[in-house]
Amino acid sequence: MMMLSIVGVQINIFLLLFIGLAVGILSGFVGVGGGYLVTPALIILGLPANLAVGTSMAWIVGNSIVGTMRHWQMGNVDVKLGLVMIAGTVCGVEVGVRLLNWTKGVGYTDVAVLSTLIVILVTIGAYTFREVRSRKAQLDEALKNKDKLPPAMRSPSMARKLQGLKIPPVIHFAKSRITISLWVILSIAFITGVLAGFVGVGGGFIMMPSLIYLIGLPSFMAVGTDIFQIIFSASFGCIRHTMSGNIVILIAFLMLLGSSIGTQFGALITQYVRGIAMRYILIVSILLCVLGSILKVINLLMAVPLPWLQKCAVGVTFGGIALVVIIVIALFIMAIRYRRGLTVPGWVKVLVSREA
Amino acid sequence: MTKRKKDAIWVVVLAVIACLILWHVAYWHSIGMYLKMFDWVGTDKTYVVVLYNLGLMLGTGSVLGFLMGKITDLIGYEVRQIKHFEEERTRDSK
Repeated sequence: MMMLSIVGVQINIFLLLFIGLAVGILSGFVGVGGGYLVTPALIILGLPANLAVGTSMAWIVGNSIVGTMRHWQMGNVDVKLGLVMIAGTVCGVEVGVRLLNWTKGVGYTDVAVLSTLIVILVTIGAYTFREVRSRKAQLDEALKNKDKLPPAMRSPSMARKLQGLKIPPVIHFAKSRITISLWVILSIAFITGVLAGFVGVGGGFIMMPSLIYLIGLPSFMAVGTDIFQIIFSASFGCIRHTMSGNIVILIAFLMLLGSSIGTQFGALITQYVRGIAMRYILIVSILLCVLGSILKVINLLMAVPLPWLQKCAVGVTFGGIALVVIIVIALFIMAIRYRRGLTVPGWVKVLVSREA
Repeated sequence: MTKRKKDAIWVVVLAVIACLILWHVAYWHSIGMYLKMFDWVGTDKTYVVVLYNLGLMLGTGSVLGFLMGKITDLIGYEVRQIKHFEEERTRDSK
């Protein structure tokens, strides 16, 4: 067994590589930084919470570069939009961090953070689920009638409304083919930044659905643009955490070795599936994260915290990584079978694409 | 020179750089340099640790990103641009 002794904790090197690989697949596929999955995984391995948070932030910096390079090749990155968003996100993250420090005085930080996270995730999850259901019904109908499949869901209703607000300056983003007020983008970036800073994640988990549903980006362009802007917000977080002594750089490095392979795989799978499949995976990730967070909140609100409840919370989060990775790999195998003309279950046909 | 040969040279060069970074990290861990750097946080040397951590992650991410990209080129996997605005109409219109 290749054990590594870091800050008094014995950690298996291969386990770190595996965590990197698994989360890298999800990161490349769904377009989130992965901090919400890596942090609990490192805590399970015995790392103190502050070191787990800081180390995962450092890892996100390297991992988002690897992911951005691949998405860049596939034409998934809208640099102009990403750069405009960074201004709002970084300001928002700073306000969120300050808000978090203010709540420390009250003494209910953990409950406040987790409750906010649950509300955000349930809202995003419910909206995503509603949109995906209506899109799936549309695709099912087309398949049933053997019609041409309808074009990708371009602009959800909320995005159309926001694009209609012509408050100057109005900017046209040629790559994304959207024309929208600068203030709308900055406001969305700022609000998601505040939420990201307050709940202590990189922001991709909130930003990616915002890009799809509030700004109206196609799913895969939202993935690429989101992972691009994470480079900057995570670098900001990495600097802040290094200054607080929260980073074990060796662990971040080892996980990056694993995730560099996983991210490539995850990003390549996006060429085999439709946007709707990615949104389903996002919903499953959100559901598992909400379950884990609810268990943690219940445990925190108990007069005497129950160790088994804590283990359940960690188990749900950690098991979630494995489950979602298995679903993504299964989808990839089905997509290859479908392209080769082999039999696949009926429900798979609306999730995968026949031609590259 | 063919594209395949160029890709092979890139893979070798980037793999050597990646191995050098790996060796550097393993060596610094073995001589206890990272523990020493941990103690620098909060002193006037904090900026060195900030630059090192950020530089290591940005550098390693870039090298590994390029390396993986070149490996997929070398094995003949063609990365195609996604047509975001007509993908579902054209891909599955069979």
